[in-house]
Amino acid sequence: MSVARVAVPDFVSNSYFPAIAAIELGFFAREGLDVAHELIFPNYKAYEALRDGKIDFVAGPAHAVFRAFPEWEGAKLLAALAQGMYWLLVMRTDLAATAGDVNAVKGRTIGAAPLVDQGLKRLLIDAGVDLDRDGVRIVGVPGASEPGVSFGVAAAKALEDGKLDGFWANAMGAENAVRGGSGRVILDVRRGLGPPAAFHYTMPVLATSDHVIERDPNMVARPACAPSWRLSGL
Amino acid sequence: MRAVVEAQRALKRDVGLATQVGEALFPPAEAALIADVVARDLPYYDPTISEAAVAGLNRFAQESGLAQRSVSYGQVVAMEFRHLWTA
Repeated sequence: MSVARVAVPDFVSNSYFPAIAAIELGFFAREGLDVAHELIFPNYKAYEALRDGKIDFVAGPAHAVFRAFPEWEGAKLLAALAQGMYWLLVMRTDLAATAGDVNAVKGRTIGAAPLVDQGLKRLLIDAGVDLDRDGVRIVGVPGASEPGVSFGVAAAKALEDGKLDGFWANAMGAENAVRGGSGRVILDVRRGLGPPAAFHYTMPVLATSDHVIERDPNMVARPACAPSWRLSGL
Repeated sequence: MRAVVEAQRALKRDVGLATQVGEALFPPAEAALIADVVARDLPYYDPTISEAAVAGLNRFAQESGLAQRSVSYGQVVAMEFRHLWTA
């Protein structure tokens, strides 16, 4: 059995869940691959590890490829893990903010991960918000860079603790904040809350490098005639 | 790569598998939430990378200062494996 390494920048999350599920449910094993996952935060460091040959695949945001592979030289996307930009803006429930209202960020401090924040910034700019003039501060999330910490969960905790006015993160973090009563979803472009054009800013993907494809194409996609695992029950 | 596509299909057929994965890997509180969260993502579980998605990615990357120029669809996507999206 071949061994492969998949990096994910956020683990306790829905963002890259199909890749995590493929490991845990045994789909990689049925392809003859012994796959281990590795949490590498923030996202661009996962792509740097791919570039440097330390891992074989990244389950991460597509746009972060550019940071490690300038002008997209040397990387390839294999599949979408899901369609569309997948982060949500959650604001404190005690603020006067309504769903879909981008103006809710004015004068506020919003937590977001490196490069993930680019999605929020571009969305706000496209919607007519001037980050400087309107006093929008987009910052890191306290505690999110600690080893093994899930970004969305850390963001929900920071919101609950009053360290942020809002956060831009995955749906797991949003669900934590909403169920805990500390947050309300304001923007979610997949569900029509926000500018439609923002849907295609980025997407969660499975990516690899040209080097990996050249070195071991059968690891990337085992030839169809090899195993008969697709006849199995799952 | 087939493994990821098959995982998407399996989760669409039975989102309860998300709980199985969560219970194995996540803290209890998040394991209890994951199936509900994944259920809302299921309509977006499609491995296809469209031309429109790459065009949007190019536009976003340039406007955000991540790229100087547009890259072609064939440079972004591993063309030799695209058939697996629907296999």
